[in-house]
Amino acid sequence: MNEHLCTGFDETAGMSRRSFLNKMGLGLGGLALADMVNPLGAMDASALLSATHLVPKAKRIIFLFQSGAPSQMDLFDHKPRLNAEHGQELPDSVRQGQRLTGMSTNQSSLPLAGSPFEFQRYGQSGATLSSALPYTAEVADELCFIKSMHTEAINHGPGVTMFQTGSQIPGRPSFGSWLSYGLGSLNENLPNYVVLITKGKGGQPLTSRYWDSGFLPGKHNGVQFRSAEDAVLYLNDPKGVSRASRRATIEHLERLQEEQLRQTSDPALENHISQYEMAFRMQASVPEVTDLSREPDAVMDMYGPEVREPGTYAANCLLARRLAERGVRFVQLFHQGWDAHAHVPANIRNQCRQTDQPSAALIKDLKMRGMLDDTLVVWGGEFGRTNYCQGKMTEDDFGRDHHPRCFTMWMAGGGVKAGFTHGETDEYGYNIVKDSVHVHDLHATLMHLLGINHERLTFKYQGRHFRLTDVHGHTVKPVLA
Amino acid sequence: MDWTAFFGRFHVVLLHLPIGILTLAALAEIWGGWRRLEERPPFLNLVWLGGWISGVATCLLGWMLSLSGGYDEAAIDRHFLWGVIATAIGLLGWIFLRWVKGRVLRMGAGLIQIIALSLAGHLGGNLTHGPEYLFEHAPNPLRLLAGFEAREAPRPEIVFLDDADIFLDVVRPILKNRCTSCHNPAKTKGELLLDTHEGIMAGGKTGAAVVPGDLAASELIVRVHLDPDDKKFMPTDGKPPLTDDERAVLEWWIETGAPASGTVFDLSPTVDMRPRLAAAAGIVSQENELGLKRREALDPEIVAQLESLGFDVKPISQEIAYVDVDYFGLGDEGIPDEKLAALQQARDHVAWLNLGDCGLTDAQLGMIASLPNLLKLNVDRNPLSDAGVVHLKSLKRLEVLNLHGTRVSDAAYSTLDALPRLQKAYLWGTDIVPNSNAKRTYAVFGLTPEPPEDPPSS
Repeated sequence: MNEHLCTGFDETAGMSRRSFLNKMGLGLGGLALADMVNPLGAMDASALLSATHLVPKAKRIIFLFQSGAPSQMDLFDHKPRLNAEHGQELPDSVRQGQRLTGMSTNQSSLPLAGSPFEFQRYGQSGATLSSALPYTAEVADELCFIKSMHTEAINHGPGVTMFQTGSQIPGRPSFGSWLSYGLGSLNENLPNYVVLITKGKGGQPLTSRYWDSGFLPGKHNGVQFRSAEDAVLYLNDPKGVSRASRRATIEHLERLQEEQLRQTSDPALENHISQYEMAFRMQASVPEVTDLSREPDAVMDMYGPEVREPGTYAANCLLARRLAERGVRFVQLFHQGWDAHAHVPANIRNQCRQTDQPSAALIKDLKMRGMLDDTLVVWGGEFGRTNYCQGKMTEDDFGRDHHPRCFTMWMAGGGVKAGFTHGETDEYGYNIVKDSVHVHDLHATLMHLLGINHERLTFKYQGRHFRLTDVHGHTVKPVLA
Repeated sequence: MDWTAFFGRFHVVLLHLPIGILTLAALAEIWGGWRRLEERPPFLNLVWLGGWISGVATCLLGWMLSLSGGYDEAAIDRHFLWGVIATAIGLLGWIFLRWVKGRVLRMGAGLIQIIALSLAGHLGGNLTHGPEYLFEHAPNPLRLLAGFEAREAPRPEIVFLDDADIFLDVVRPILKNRCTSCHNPAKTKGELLLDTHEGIMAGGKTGAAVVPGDLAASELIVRVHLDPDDKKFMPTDGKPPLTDDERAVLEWWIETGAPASGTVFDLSPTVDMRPRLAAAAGIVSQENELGLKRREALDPEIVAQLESLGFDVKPISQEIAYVDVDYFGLGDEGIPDEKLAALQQARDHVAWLNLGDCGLTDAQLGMIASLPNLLKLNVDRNPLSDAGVVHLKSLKRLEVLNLHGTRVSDAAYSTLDALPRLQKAYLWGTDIVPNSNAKRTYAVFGLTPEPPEDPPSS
C-alpha cells in the first residue's frame, strides 16, 4: 500500500520526493532497520489502528450540533443574579477587558439580561434546566452537563471549524474523518461518517468543508444524506440502467484503474475504487436505512409530530439512530438558527420546539434498545452567548451576542457519568470559576471514550505528525463513568 | 527476665554436640569390633566422656525449653526418654567399655547408641518442624511405610481465577504460608489448628478463630491487625506478618461466610478484589481488565477469513486480544449457517458479539451458545423465540444480553435467571408482559417506562 500524500500524485513508486529523500538519504540504515522489524511494512504508512489503545466505552457517536450557538443561560446555566440586576450595566470587573464582536463593541451600554425562562431542578440528579426544555428534563438523569466549555473563536466560521477540526483555520481533517481513519468501518455498506442537516433552516451557513477529510484520504470524508428522494446525490442509477449492468461497469472501471495504478501509483485512485464500490453497495443500503415506514408509531410519536416530515431535526434524530444501529461510527446532525442576536425569547422557544423533544426521544430510544451503553450522544454549539443584551432591550425582548468564554454542552451514554454536572461559571455566567473544558479537552475526552489516546492517533503531513488535538487537549476524567 | 526460656532455646544449638560426639564413639566401637583390633585406644574413653557431658547439658536445656510450653506433651515425653537413654549409654560407655574385652558386646553397645541417638534426634526434629516435615517430599510408598497418609494430589494448576477453589486454592495457601508452621496437629499453639477448614471453625484456646460474616468477632482477623509489638500479635516470634492483600483476602472470605468449598466464580468478587485473590492463588497477571484469561492474538488468517465473510472482527484493545465482532447483513437474507460455523474458529476469542437484525434463527442461537467467553451479546431484532433463548444457558460469563425486538415471552426469564453473571437484559418490543418483571438480580431495560402517550406540559 502506498503512503497517502498531500498531492495525491507522485512519480517514484508511490513515494514523494520528500519521503524518498527522508527514507533514502537520512536513513538507509533506518530503512534496513524498518525492513528487519517489519519487512512488509517498511514503506507503509497505513494508520488504521489494529486495535484501539484503550477498551472502548463507546463504539459510535451521534453529535447533535446546534449551529449558531445556543444561549446557555436561557437553557442550562441558571443565573438568578442576571434577573436581579436585569438592565444594569455589566461590571468591568466581570468583563475584564474581554474583546467583544464588532456587533456589540460599539454599544454605549452593555445591560445585563436575565433569562425570561423559569428554571427548575429535575430528576434524581437535580439537574437545573429551563422551562424551554420540558422533554430534555425527562431524561436529565441520563445526561452529563459540562457548564464550563470555552473556546477562542468568537465568530461562527472559526468556531464551528474549531469544533469540527480542532483548529480555527480551515483545512484540517474533521473529527468524524479522524474517527473513520483511526477506527475503520463496522459496516462496509455504509459510510463511516454521515452528516444530516435540518432542512429549510436559515442562519449561519454550513459548508461541506466542515466534514471534509482534509489531508486524510478522501474516503474518510463525511457523506451528507439529504432529505429528498435521493438521500445521497447521484447515487441512484440513471433510468434504464440495471443493477447488473452497473456492476459490470464498475468492475471494468476497476480493472482500468488498477492498470493505471500499476503505472502511476496514484493513491487517489485507490480512493476512487473504494468509493465506487461503496457507492454501489450504498445503492442497496441507503434506501433501506432511510426508509422510516417500518418504524412503529409509538417510536415515531416519541420524536414528536415533525418526525413524519423528512429533513426535520426530529426525522434526522430518528435517522441517526437507524444509522448508528447499522454501524455508522459518526453521525453528525446540524441544526441551524441558534444565532439570536435579537429576539432571544422567541428564538429559544422556536428552536426548542424543533429540537427538545427529538433530542430527548433519541436518548430514550437508544436506551430502550440497549444502544445507549455504547453510543455517545453529544449536544452543543460552537460557543455561548453573552449575559448582556445586544441591541435594543425592551420589556420582553432582547438579544445576545457571541460569548466564547463559557457555554454549556451535554453528553449522554457510552461511558460518561449519567446525571452529572461538571464545571461552574460565575454568578453572572460570564467567566468560568471551576473546571474549565476547552474544545480540545472535549475532543480528547470523546476520543478517550472511543478507546483512542488522542496523542497517538496521528497523520504525517507536510513533514510533521498532525493530530486532532494538535499539541493540546486533556481527557476530562471527572466526566468518565 | 525468663532465664529458663532464654537458656532453653540453646537446646537446639547444643544438641548437635552429643549427637556428633556419641555417634563418633559408637562408630569407633563398631569399627574396632568389626576389624578385631586388639588394642582399644584410651582416647576413646575421653570421647565417651565428652559425649556424656554434652548430653547431660543438652537434656537440661531441653527440659527448660519444654517448660515454655506449646508442644505436644506426649511427643515431648518420647523425645525426652530417648534423649536420656542416649545420654545414659554415654555414661555407661565411659565407665565400662574400657573393661570389656568381648567384641560382640562393644559392637552391640555402639549399635544401640546409634539407634537411641537417631530416635532422640528424629523425635526432636518432629517437635520443631512438625511430624510431616521429614517425609513431606518422600515418595508415597515410603510415606505410607512411615505411617503417613499418602500425600494429597497437588492442586491442579489454576490458570483462571474463576476456577480456583475458594478455600483450597485461595485461603489455605495464605494460612500455609503464614500460620500453619505453629498451628498444625503436632505443634498446636494456642490449641488452634489452621490447616483444615474444620480446625479453623473449631477455634482455639482464646475462642472462635473465624466467625462467618463477623470480622470483629473473628480472633484470626483481630490478631493479625494488632500492633506488631503486642504480645498477641500474629504471626508471633518475628515471623513475617501478613500483607495487606492477604488480610484483605481473608476478610473478604470471612465476610462472604467463610465457605469451605466453592469456586471464586460462584462468589462473584468485586473487580478490585480479583487481583488480590489471584495473587493469593498464585495466578498473577493471568487476567485482563475484562476479567478474562489473557490470550494471544487471534490468528490473522482466521480474522481475514471472517472479514471476508462480512464479519467485522477487532481486538477489544491493544492490550486485550479478545475480539469484538459485528455483522451487518445487506437486505433481508438471514445469516447463513456456514458463517456462524466459521465463527467457531474464533470461539475462545469472541467476547463481544453483535448479530442484531441479521435473520438469526432459534437453531442458530445454539451455535452462538458455544462461545465460552461471551460477555456481551446483541441478537436483537431477530426472529427468535423462547425455544432459542434456552440455548444461551451455557453462557456462564454473559453480562449484557440484548433481545429487544425478538419474539421472546415471559418464559425467557427462566433462561435469564440462570445466567449467573447477567447484569443487563434489554427486552423492549418483545412479547414479555411488563408487569411480570419481578425483582431480579439483573437490570431489565425497555419494559418500562413505555413511550409517553401525552407530551409533558411545558
